[in-house]
Amino acid sequence: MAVLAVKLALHDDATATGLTALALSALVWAGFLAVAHRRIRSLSTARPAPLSHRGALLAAGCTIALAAFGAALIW
Amino acid sequence: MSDFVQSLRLWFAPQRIRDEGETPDYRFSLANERTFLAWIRTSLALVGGGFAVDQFLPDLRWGVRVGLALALLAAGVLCALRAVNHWVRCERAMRRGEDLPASRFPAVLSLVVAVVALAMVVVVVFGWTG
Repeated sequence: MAVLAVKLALHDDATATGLTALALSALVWAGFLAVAHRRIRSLSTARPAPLSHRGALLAAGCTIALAAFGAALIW
Repeated sequence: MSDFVQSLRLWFAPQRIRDEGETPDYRFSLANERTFLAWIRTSLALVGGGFAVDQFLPDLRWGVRVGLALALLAAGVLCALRAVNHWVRCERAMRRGEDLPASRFPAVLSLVVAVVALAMVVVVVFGWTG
C-alpha cells in the first residue's frame, strides 16, 4: 500500500499537494504501526488487558485518515 | 438516530462502559478484539484496492476510474467506523450479559463489493477507454 501511495504521488509530477498528502499518509501509516506495536507488546503477558478505547480509536482513525489522504492524492 | 448518538458517545467514554456490568472472561474480550482487527483489515484492503484501481486501470475514463477508487476508499472509511462501533457495542453487551448486537452491515458491504466487482468486470471486458 505504501508503494502504491508513493507511485500515486509521483505518477504525473511531484506537486506540492501530492507530496504533502504523501507525507501525511506516511505519517498516519507509521502511527498505525506504532499503535499495533504497542498493542502486541501489551499482549505478551499471561492475562492481557482488553484493548483500550484509545487504541481502537487510534487504529480506526489512522485507517480513515489514510483513506482521506489517498482520496486527496487520487483527486 | 438517538441510538447512533448514544453509541457515538460510548466511543469516547470508556469509563462509562467499564462501570457497567461485570468484566467478561478475557478470552471473550480478545475474541472481540480479533473481530475488530478483522474489520480494520478489511478496511485497509478496501483502501489499498482504491489505490490499486487508480494505479492499474490507467486506460479508463477519468470519471470511471476516480469514481471506483473513491467508492472503495469510502467503503474503507465506513468499515473502519463500523469496526469501532461494533467493538464498543459488543464489549458493552458482554459486560451486561446481553445478546450480542445484530447488524446489517456485513450484508450491505458484501452487496457493495459485489456491485463494484461487477462494474469492474464490465469495465474490463468492454474496455471503456478514454
